[in-house]
Amino acid sequence: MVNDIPYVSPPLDMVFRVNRRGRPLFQPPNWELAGVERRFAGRYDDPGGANIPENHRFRTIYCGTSRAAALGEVIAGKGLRPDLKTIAELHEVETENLITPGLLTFHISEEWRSARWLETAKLHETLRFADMEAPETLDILRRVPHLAGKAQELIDTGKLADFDRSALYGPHTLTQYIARYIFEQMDNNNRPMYTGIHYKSRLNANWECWAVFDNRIHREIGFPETILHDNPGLREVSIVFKLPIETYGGKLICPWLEGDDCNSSL
Amino acid sequence: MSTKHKALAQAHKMTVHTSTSEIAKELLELLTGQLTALIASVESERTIRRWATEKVTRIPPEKEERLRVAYTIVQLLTQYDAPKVVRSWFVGMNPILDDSPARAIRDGRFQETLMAAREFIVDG
Repeated sequence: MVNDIPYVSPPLDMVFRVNRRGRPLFQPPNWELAGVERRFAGRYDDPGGANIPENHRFRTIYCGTSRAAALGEVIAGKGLRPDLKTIAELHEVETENLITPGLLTFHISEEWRSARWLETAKLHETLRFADMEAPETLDILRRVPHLAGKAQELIDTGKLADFDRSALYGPHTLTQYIARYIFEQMDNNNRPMYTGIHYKSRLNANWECWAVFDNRIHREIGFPETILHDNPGLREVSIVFKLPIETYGGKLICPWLEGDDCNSSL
Repeated sequence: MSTKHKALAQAHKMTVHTSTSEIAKELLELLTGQLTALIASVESERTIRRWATEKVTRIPPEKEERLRVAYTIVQLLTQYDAPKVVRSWFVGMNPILDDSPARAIRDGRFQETLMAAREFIVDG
């Protein structure tokens, strides 16, 4: 018998979500962006795709308890941290000139900030989120036959070492099946048990994240925030990843150095 | 057809109707010679310049395919972000690919890279 996954309630304060400026607030991504497969690629997105009718699918709204969690998950989670192997290989390309200035300079650009904003919302306190951080959760998931089977497929092909905690941060193939399993859990009255999933960022264990199933969300939407260069969450992300922030004047600041001075010797 | 769907369709259409030399030229401008050479899997950026100026017109099909995939993604992402941001995306460590998009295209992981590009514009 498989037990229920423990749940947690959402935070009492606002949660944050990074999105493109001008898009409707706290709305799921448009299906049209999911391509012909009708599937998104995020950690806890629905793996069903075009194989199941649209009204049986869910879309996931990702948000963070803090500004830093929301910003960090997008800046690093969407691939804006330098890949060291690629940088090393770029240096091996024969060129008549020096490596193009700026090509290898990674920072949080003014263009990136100004194209986005931080959405805010208060999630309703009655919502229940399956808690991936509870000690029992992994064992419960391991006992679900089709999840164990999917994990074994990944282990057999060398894409996963074991169905342990690392699997929750591993290939999205498995985590998406976990999301679908959680989405399908019903209580004795045949009502959905969970609104979404609570987890910690794989990039920073201090960043608490929430994946919300779009058709179960109850929230009060707050005002979106412009992402200024001195946003405290952005500064935290900059410090964690050692990514300079570009100000409106084009100047780079390095919050992990004395006086934010990128030329500081510290 | 929604605006977002148009963006995807438009990027694909642009790629289909653009000559390889024009694609090489635009990638040189936007991604730089070094990065385009890495994506196409050629040793020198001079090769890309020869393709762009049509000094060499016989391009190995597998290298042309890499350029076309990169170009489709550039067309898509530049509808949403500045060239500088797009360039960073190509060189960045992408968790979906467990690699950078530049290396993933070079290694023939076209569908996965296109999906990662779509994910970049989905939210955030």
